[in-house]
Amino acid sequence: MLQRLNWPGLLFMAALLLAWELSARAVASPSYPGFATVLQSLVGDAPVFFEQIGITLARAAAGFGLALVTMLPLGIFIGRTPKVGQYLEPAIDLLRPLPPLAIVPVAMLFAGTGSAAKISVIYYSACFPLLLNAIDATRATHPLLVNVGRSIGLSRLEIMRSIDLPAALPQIMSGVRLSVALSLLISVSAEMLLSTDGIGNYLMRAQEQFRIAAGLAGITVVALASLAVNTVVRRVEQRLLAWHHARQGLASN
Amino acid sequence: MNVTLGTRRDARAVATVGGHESRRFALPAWARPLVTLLGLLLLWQAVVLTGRIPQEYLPGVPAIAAAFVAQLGAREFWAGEALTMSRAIGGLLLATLSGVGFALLGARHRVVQRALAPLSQIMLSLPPAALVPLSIFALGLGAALYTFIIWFACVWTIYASAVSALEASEPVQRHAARSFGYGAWECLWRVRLPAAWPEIFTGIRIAAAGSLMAAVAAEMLAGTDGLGFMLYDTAFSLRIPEMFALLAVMGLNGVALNGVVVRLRRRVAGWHDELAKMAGA
Repeated sequence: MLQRLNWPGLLFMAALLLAWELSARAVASPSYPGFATVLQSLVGDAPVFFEQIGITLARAAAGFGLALVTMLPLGIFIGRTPKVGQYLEPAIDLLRPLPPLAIVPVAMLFAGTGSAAKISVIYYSACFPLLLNAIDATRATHPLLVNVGRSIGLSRLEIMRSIDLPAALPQIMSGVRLSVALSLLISVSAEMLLSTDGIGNYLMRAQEQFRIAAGLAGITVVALASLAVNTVVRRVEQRLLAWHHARQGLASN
Repeated sequence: MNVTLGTRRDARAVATVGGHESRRFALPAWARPLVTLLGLLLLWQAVVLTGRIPQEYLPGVPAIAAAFVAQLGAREFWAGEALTMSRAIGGLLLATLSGVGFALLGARHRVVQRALAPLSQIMLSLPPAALVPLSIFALGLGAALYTFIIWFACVWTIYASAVSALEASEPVQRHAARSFGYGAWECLWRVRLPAAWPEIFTGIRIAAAGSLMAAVAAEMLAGTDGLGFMLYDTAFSLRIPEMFALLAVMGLNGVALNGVVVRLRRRVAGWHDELAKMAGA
């Protein structure tokens, strides 16, 4: 256990934090709080942080969930039906370069500043990694599998559900990973632009009130939350793809 | 009936595997995106014509096109465009230099790579926009702010892709380099880095999209100038056709920057694609 720890990494982080703390003590200015001060406001404001990050995560989950249930079937459908793909894919290529945060003003126009506006921005950003990976993965499904499905009399829909989906799952999961990370990122950013509540709004208020330690504590909360979320996603991925990894292990042996 | 359908489908499946798809009413490949674009515009116009959404909020295609053309003649627009693009490209360049630089250092001295691992993991998961408020305190509203935010948005992605690309270099190449008498740095610079460019460029492409997003987000939050500020400004003052025209410009910027990166990749790592083609043939 002790040997598996990344000692250089931990030491480097500790050194950085120490340097920060010492330099802050040397400067002794409220606009440059040290690590200890930030930790204090992190602990002191803990209930607020839990509440706000909860709101942020809930919106990210809603946007991502919507994207998952709509884009996965659409992606598999496009990947499986090249005739549709030829016309829909250029549309995706037209929309994709638009930075997700740029549609914040549009969302504001149509949905105000509430949850609906934020969730639609998150949804928009979460769609692309899911959709593109689902299309690619479905297209790469081995034709033999599909032909077997056809010859045992599966319908198109059944082929998509019971052959394309599992076969595409490994690549879809890498889309899911990207998409989840992006959802959280956009959720925080959207809260900063359409500030009503959530951790993004907390960061904006901290800036307005010159509470720098609180701002840094807020950033720490965001970092911790996204580390936690990413870990959960990786666990789920390992669970879901256990069969895939097992097979790859066999193949390489 | 069922049987004939089945055989036709199978025939097509076989044809697709071979890479040749036989279609009866085939549009040439270049025409399809145009058809799609036309379809989208018609759909947009149809929604506008139903009158369900007030024209104030959802202007028709001609109004947006007029705003787009008017914009192309406005000095203010070009100033904003130049600011945003130079910020994005400057930050991206800096991030590429430092990301690849640190990855090289890490490939040479393992300790550096391990020391940076937790830090880069944490930073990769932070939204760049979250840093804007505090960075405004520290750096003001000038070029330093944008450079820092955009650099931050790009550097961890590029660093991660460079680390994994340098890691993946083939032992055969390394041993060959050593037997030619290359030193460790020389081997890194002349063998491992060139071999790593294709994968590094994948990271740079992702970072390029991120750089534009960070630029726009920072400009919206800082609220002084640039396309992001103009977008916010037009939305708040309800100059909606101009807002949609700006959105179109941002999309085109993304296409353009991506095109530049792809072209650079071909320059730096084009040999790789040719090699892959040769191996495939």
